[in-house]
Amino acid sequence: MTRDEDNLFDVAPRVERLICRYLDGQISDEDETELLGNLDRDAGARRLLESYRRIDADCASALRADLARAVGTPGPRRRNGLLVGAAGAVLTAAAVVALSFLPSIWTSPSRRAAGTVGGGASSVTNPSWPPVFVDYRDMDYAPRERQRDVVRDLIGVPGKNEKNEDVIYIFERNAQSTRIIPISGDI
Amino acid sequence: MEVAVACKAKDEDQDLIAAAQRGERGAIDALVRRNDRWVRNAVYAVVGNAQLIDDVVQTVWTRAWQQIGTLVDPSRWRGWLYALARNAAIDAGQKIARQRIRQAPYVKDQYQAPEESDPSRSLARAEQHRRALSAIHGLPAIYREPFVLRHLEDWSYARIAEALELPIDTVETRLVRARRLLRSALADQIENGGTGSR
Repeated sequence: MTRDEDNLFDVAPRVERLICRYLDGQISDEDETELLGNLDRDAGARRLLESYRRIDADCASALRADLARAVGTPGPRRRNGLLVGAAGAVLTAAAVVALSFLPSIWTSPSRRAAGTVGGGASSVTNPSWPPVFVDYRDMDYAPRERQRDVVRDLIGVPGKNEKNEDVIYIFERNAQSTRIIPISGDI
Repeated sequence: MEVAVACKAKDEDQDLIAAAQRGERGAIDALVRRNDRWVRNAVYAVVGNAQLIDDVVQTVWTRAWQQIGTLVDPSRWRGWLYALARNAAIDAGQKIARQRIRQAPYVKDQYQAPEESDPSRSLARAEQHRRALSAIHGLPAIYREPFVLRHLEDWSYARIAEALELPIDTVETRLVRARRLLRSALADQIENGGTGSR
């Protein structure tokens, strides 16, 4: 290990930087020519390139394997304490307000006070902002059949679907992506 | 070519942001679909625990949906969203720490290697992965975040710089230092040839 570290310092910082650019696919033609010249002359630079290449491969492999295990967790979403905590303030402050205009959060923005955000000339006037999230578990929107391979949020934004039916828009995740879906009592 | 594609994607995101700020739910949905993968990886880069990602990412998107009206400059969308992701991930990590769930290095406790037919090879790979993850998550956050984004997302320096709101030179320097630190931490593994995985 000591010998390895010593070798690291045998390589000029400029060459080390070029090696990293090369491995990251960010090297220019001119820099690549310079790097190749250094690699021809310097065994330490070659060792450094090879060790960084291995590090990249091992780390990328480990990261992907670790992440892959977390994708597509089966069963309905369970909110743990931290997420309840994160959403708690939203729910506590907003649920009562949300229920007062439950059917038309998105379709009747005029019912809500227009909110101006930002500042000065670049401010944004947004009549339907912010959306109000509600916990739908105690409402009539809880899915009767839960799919196995998706993770669903337990809070969502009330609104109307294309058929003008009351729905709750929630985040749903499967193995490929997260999306917003409408749910209603018969889903 | 790559630059042109990136610019087009950025313009499309900005159109969607404007629509989302008008309250169009479909625009939020599209933004989620377009950005979800890198947000997950960004959360992972910060929190370092795959088991927490779903919870944190849902929090990120909930906050993004609520707060997108506050985004005054849509050209900074990626940095804004990254900040939301980072803050949510940090909150989650602190919450876990307070709950003393991390009683031991989490990688050792939670890591399970992919199954292989040869048990001895599977064990060796599991140990290499465990050590690599331990080394990555032992990096200071300023080095870990660009390193993970680079290796999971294959992002250019410029794109990482945009998300982290850093100069490109700083991103490059941090990636160099990340590799240097990892090389020290994994010296034995590297000397023995690593996994040879690509």
